[in-house]
Amino acid sequence: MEDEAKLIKKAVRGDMRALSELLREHYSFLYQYLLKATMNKNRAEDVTQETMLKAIEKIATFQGKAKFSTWLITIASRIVIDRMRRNELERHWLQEEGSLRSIQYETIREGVDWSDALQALGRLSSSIRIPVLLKYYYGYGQDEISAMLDIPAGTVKSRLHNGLKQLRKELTEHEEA
Amino acid sequence: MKKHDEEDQLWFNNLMKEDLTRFDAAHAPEVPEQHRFEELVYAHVQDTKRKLWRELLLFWLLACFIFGVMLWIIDRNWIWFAIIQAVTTAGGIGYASYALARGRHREWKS
Repeated sequence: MEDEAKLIKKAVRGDMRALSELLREHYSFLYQYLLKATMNKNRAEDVTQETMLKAIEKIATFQGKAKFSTWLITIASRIVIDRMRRNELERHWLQEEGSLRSIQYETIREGVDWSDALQALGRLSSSIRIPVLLKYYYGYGQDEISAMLDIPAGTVKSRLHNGLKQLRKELTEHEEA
Repeated sequence: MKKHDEEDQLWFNNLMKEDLTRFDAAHAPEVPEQHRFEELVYAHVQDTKRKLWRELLLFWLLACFIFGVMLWIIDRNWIWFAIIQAVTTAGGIGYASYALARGRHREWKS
């Protein structure tokens, strides 16, 4: 297995084999990020595919200043946000509830408990869930998230604040119940 | 402020992180074989090239048409030609500055 930096250099120069190796290496990471970001298996699969196609188109513009995984997450997050804006699927509460139940079922089927924490995270809207995941699960800074999602730093800050507040509230309510 | 951030991170690590890690493990996808990725990359590169050639052809056809119309207008009326040129130049400059400002705003170091 070649070192990632070498693969990136080759891929940027147009080596299709190197690019396909990079995409394969990051496939699980990308899919798992998107599954958490969308909490919807079909949407996560769709956006994984679309992100890879976009990466193939844009690889020549990749400057290597960020990690390849960060670049993919950025493309993927922007696709999720664009789709959300276009389709406004997020507003269809019943549909969201349905997809949450479906991912809950799939998770339990794999032998993992559907915890209160996952339920609370699933109930956040994607526009809040994405910055929360990027900051607290993936460890990106607020400024990085702002650049990745193309939104002002103040918006990231308020979404993080509201997201954690909502998570804390839901988890406290579950504990009390 | 920094302390507040650290507290939030600690809260997340204690209550959420482990569950999310287990969630990730439960949903680890089956990664397709390398040749499937190679096929995808090759097919998409070919598609993109075809699309670019089509767009380039369309661009040249349109350019030839506009050039022809302009020559026809010069031949008919110089004043109208000057007016059209002034309007399109102003429109072009306006659009270019808008696109440039938007591009600068969206700039992200990959």
